[in-house]
Amino acid sequence: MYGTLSKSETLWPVFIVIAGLLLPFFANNYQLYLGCVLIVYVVLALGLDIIMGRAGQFAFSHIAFYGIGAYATAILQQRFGVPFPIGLVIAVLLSAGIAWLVAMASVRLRHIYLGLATVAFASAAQWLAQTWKGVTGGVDGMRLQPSDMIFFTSRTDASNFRILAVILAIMLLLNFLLIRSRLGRAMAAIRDSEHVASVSGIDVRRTKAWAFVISSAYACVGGGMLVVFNSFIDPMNFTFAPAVLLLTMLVVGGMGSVAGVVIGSLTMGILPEILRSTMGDFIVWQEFVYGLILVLSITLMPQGIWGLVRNRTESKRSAT
Amino acid sequence: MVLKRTASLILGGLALVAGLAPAAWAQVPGVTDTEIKIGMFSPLSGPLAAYGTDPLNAAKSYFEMINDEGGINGRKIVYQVEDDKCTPAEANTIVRKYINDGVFLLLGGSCSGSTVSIQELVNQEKIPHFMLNASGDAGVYPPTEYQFGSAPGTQRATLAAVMQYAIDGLGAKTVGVLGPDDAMGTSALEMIYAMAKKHDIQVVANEIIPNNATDVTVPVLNVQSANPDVIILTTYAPPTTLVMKKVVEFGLLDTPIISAIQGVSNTVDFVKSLDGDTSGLGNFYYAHPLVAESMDDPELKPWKDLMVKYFPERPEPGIIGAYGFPHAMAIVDAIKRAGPDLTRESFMAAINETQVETKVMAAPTVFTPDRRDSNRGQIIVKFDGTTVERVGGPYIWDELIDPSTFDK
Repeated sequence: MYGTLSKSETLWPVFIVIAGLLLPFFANNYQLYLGCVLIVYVVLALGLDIIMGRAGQFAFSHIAFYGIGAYATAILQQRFGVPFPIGLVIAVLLSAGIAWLVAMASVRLRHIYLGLATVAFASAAQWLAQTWKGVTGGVDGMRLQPSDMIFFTSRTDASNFRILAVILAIMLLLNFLLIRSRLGRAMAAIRDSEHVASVSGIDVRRTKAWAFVISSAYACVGGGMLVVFNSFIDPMNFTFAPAVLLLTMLVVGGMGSVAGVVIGSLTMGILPEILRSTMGDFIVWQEFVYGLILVLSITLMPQGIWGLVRNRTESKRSAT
Repeated sequence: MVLKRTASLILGGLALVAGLAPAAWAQVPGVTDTEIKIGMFSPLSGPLAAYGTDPLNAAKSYFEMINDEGGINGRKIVYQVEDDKCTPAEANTIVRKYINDGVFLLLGGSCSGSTVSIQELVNQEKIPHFMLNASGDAGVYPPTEYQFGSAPGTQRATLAAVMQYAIDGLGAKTVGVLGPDDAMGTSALEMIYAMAKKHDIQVVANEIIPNNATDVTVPVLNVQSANPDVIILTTYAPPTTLVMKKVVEFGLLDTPIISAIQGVSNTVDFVKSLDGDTSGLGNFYYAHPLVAESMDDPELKPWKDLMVKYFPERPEPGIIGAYGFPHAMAIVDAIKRAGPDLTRESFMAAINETQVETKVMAAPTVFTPDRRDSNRGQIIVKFDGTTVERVGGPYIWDELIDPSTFDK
């Protein structure tokens, strides 16, 4: 589990980049836009999994950093002409700084108290996005120009998809590296038992703070990615609805495993489109069926889809 | 091996689910010898479903009526419907899906955010998009070639009418404004100040009331202390109710009050929201764009009957449903005039010369090459709690003030 990357962990990012470059030759704009949405979900869910699945902390502020990433990248690009790649790096640094401050104030808290503190931060960020009209455009949102990528301007769904695929590959690789790092081990130890981790010499507060900062940086990158393929953002993008959706992705896919997170993100992200395609004549029932599938999957697969697959595989192995 | 299999599964699944089967290639997207395909969307679930359901039914019932009468130039209108939940992300996904499915044009959107978010896309793809009942100024000022909007009227249209009536009908020399500082409120203020400047009127108070306000004591007291001749409300329905309760509490009964921007969308519900206390309505007026005040009034009853005929599951459609008719009518009118050889180009040429008397809206529905705000007229009515009396209009905003005033 720890140490150098496995072969598949090295190959997955490479595969994503190749697929990202080739897929636009075969897919239409609708599919590519949908692909962009799913990629953002995966990055956001990977980030949320770092704090919840890896470090075992219950934090709701992820959506706030998603918003900070989106607005910071958009404002830097629209108002100051900063190209997207540079703007995204600045946004991540800004976001990490804010996250560190929030972490310092909240790492002493645990369980529901940490959850409530981070809910308060997310609410404050949402309020700021709605009311700081001169900067964010308030409830009327911000119109976005095509993203400046230094060497070219990304104007089509195809180029947006390619850019997002490359970012996903980088974020996935970083995720694998984190899991296999000393910090990743410390996070896992804290998740399993803070007391045991503490007596083992792990600086619990510092590790939790780093988990929070890295998780927030992932959310910020997700926000920046949103700016690439959308021509408009408003505070509605960063309400608790997407926060709950992300949490659902982790639960459905399986928390604490990259495969589970990816499966959960793709499943929950694409489910509304499946319902749209298959239940076109029953629009008002789509939400109900979505909820039903969610409840059933959580009830029947408490460890998520990946947990079920893993259990079955292990059962087969032990049987043979 | 596992990697390869998983990768192919994800790729295959993505392609399959996203609907790899495209519409058959056609010379003109969405047009065959027998059909014209239209992609429709509005909020049909969630908290904003009330804004989308009836207007969508209105447009669909009009298309059904046209189909029952034999269609247009031998073609029937076939429509698809999707639920955008009033969110930009959903609207973007749906519009891309429709473009992929090969629709001729788009009719949809009840919220400004979702419609503005697809403006660049529809212009890039050169696919005409008509807003259903979204009315935000941002969608039509400045105009873009392929997006058409404002069936209920923009803030410019509404506030021009309100100001003109305040000046002509109520003899105002000073006005006080209570409203939100969002896009609607800001656009409304722009017109108020422009009309005030033109007619040498003083705006003696301008107080912000957020859409989610729970207490309006301070702004109402501030306006009261400024003592304007007329108070103008650019608030939505819930804060309008709060203001009117304070009007009674503070004895502001002699100052005329004009509510704009759907502060009163339905008189019965409005009185209910005041707990039946109509004592503050002695000098109360509001603006709206329709030919009548209720779906049961003789002018709107035929349209209500049409909606109920095709959608009997909603026997009492709200008056907001009427906003769904004008753009459906404009589309049908332009398709007829484009002739049997229907193309996007011939349609655009026809829609750019649109002037339709809808018999639903107080003013005609108009599109020209440089104007995308279809409804430019509003009327003013006096409401005392029981009866509604038309007292002014229809006022056409670009006849009241030079549109170039707003050029930036």
